[in-house]
Amino acid sequence: MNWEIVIGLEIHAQMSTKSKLMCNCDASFTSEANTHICPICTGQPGMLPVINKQVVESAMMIGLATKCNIRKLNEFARKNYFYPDLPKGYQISQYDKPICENGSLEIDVNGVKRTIGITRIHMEEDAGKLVHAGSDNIKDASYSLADLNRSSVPLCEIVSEPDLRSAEEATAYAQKIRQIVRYLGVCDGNMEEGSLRCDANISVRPKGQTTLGTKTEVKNLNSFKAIEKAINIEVERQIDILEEGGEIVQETRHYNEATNSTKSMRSKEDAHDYRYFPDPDLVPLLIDDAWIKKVQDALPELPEEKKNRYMNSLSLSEYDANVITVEKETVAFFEETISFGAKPKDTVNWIMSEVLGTLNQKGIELSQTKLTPKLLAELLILIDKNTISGKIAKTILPQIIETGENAEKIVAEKGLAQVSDQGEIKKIVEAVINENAKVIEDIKGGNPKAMGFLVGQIMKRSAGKANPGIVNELLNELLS
Amino acid sequence: MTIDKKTVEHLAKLSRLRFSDNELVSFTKSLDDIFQYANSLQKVNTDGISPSAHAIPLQNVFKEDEVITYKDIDKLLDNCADVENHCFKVPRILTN
Amino acid sequence: MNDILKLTAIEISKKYQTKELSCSEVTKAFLDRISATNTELNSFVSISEKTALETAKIVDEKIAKSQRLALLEGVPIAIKDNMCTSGVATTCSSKMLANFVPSYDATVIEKIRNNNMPILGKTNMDEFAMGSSTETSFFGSTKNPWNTNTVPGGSSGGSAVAISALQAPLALGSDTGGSIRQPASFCGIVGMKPTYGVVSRYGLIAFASSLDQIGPFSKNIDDSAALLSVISGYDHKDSTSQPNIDTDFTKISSQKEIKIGLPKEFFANLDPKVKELYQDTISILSKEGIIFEETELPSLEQGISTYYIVAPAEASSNLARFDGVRYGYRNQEAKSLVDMMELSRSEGFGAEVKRRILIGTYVLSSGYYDAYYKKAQQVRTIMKNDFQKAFSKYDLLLSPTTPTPPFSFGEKSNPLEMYMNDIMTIPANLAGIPALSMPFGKSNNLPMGIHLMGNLLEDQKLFSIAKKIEQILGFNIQNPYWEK
Repeated sequence: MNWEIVIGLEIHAQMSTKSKLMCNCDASFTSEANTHICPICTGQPGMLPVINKQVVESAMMIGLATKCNIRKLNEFARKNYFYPDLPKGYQISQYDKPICENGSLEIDVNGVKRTIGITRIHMEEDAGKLVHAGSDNIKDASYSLADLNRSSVPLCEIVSEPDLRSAEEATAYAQKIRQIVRYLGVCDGNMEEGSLRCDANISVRPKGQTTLGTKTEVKNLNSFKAIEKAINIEVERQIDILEEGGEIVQETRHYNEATNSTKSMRSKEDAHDYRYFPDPDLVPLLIDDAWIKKVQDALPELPEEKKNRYMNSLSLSEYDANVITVEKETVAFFEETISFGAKPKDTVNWIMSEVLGTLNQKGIELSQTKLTPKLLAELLILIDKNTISGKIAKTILPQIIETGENAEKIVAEKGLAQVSDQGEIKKIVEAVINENAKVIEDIKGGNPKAMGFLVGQIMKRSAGKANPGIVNELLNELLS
Repeated sequence: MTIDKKTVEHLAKLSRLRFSDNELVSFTKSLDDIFQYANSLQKVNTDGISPSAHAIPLQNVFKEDEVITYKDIDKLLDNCADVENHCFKVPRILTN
Repeated sequence: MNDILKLTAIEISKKYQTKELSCSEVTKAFLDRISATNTELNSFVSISEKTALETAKIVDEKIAKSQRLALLEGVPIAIKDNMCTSGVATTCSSKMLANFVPSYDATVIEKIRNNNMPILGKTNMDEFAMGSSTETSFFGSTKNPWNTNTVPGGSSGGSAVAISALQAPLALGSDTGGSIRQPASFCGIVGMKPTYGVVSRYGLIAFASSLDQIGPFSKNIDDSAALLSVISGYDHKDSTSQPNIDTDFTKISSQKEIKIGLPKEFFANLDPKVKELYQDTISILSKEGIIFEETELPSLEQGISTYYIVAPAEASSNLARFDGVRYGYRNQEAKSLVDMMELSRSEGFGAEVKRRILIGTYVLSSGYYDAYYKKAQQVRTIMKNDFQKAFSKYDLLLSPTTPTPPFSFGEKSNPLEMYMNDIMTIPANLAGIPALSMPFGKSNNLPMGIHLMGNLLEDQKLFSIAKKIEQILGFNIQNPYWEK
């Protein structure tokens, strides 16, 4: 049978605010257990929550960037359940009145563009962390330790419509969400540290059927690779069951990256009934048009807008505009580099291939090098002015990255400036012609490759410094 | 809408309480009495009435996003029955 | 008996300024009275003699230097044991919190400390403030000084007894459905529940967050108004705190004509003796020019049903944090997490607390939310509207505080019967309006309180009219225990 895959993603993005959602504790990550806690986030008796205004604005920003409607009258609700990482015995979340609804974003998989609906975005507080002692596995642990540093750290949960039709689309969607929240500066997008977490609702149905199949929710997708692999393996599992005449059980499944398999998380202990009700300790949140406008006006330029602008006013190709806008840091570096006079197209090429290539080899980030946009611009301008060749530029880039010295200084010190003196170059050209009589014959016989060889010989003899334009000019003149 | 023993057992599970048989009987009886009485609410016409979660309507109460470090963390931990490595220690979560 | 004990808080304040009394002398007198009477009355669960006398010393230094004292500065006070006191056990009279020592002060405690009011100790209460008799306390019940076979009311029974037995000139209680006003009525003193949000709830161990409010107990209206002035005010740590309120409640406003509504819905449930006393009182007050009119607030009939859905719903969630993990009682034998939580909660909470948790869990659970919780919140809206209509016509609404005179220990063993005692007091919590109980008569030598409800944020007007009624009635609050 021909099966259609139906996927919806729930992404939890940790807001990178200074303080927590309901108290003033430091919201940043620390490995020292229970050092970012206070009476409020540990649920001490008599303590009361107060909403962090920045979290509301961050949620509005994500909503506006994904074309959501912003709800005017918002409410926080309590989600009641017992667990040792949940100090109050309830999580403060939003229930039937989420701050953002009915949005969408566009994804592009191998040139095919699709619009994916966003059902809702809501604010909630995170739970603490449990360390299971005696084993990495909760099942074999003899006891557990609760660290509440993460308790009440702000999250936005972004829920997509079941619009995704393949693991690739799901991955592209997740990448897009990560790109947007990073551009907005509301989340650092670090999946390894758990700042961005993803659950996938997966079902399959025969092609052409309009009703949805029974879904499973797959948790623990901690990287884009995991999202793709987990969806593929779960889809395969579901299709196998259905083709053998079985039925899918609606349940939560845990993805194990090591074994590349999903496993049921069912537990007979659980009686699920979260008993949501409006939190009486918090008052409603009223968002008026003026507030929405203020947040809208302060939104930074988003990847999609930047891409279009680069294509229209910087004449970048769609490919170049795409690659340079993927990462927020790269695009900032690019914009600053061209602000110093470097040409956009050259800048894209240099950043994407030479700069990131060199950094990759060294295993470091753009932010960790001594290379500044100004230094890169100076280097590119030297090429542009024919002071050095591109080849020379490539050889000195690692030194700039290492030392932060400017290109002009390195070129002067090492005597790498391009030679454009006609007389000097002519001597070399003549000498090379004399030594390669056979090659000259080939050229005259109509073999263009041979010309390249000659140029190479000349460049080599000039230690790469001869101006290639003049070399070509002289060669043509002397051989004609 | 009367309350039976099974309902009370379910409620006990949801609220992490455990009862003896006698307690179960007694709570079932008192809850049933209470809800027999409270069912008078169903007579009230509440069509189109919005629910009040608060006594007095207030809106938009926020705190600014600033870090204030709490200095008495050790005193918080002193109230815990079992502390290990500066963490709240709990018995094994899953049993076989 | 030391005559200092009979003084009102304001009289004590005056005698500090004139140097007739020292704060240490006054504090010592009350501490002595507590140690002489607490074994019998059991109104205090802990006594803080040392810190009280330390605070008194600071005040005496100011008096010696003839420095001006703030309102009620240096007047000793008793605190209900559900308000967090840093470094001092705060138990809610529960086994669950018997050894819990907060590392923080409630906002009201901070205000009391900043005003150098010696804290004499923490008072007994119904466990987690759930009850109307102080019989559900883990530390044993508190006795009513008017008759020690009689309950003092509850849940703030210890604080009410502290005033009526002359163990403290002032006390704080909390009121979720009448827990200040009903014990004030049973003990023959003044107890007041302010408008919701006038006093910060930060550090008050929650019972039902949308109903809980801290308020004063005292011998008379002036003292309560003064104490509310000290403890009230906007608090950014409590999202439900009222902004922009005038916190001087001692200003007496006089008005030419006072019009008071008498809700018909309350008459049906009155004990005959209470009814007689009540009608006599109304005729006395009418003769003094106060205008009374019968009025209808139909939703008041749903008060008990509404309250016993809303309050347990919030309580079931508020009390979920007592799971044995971070603080409070923990069963140490449990071998698994679920066992630990279930046994700790089952052994740590008393029966009434468990009953309310069950009720609350039921009304919030799926399938019942709309029929109970949502319905009750809708009726709450109707009740608020009924009150708004009534207050457009009347300055206050008046009724007895309780439908019956004080009852004996063990008399109300049926929970529903106990809940019925709150019928007059509950609506004020549901609507957030200010209300107070003041003594107006006796039945079988037991005091009875009259209940006044005012419009939202008109706490000052409530005090002003109550003061006028107090002057007319001239009730003598002295009880037989004063001679002990």
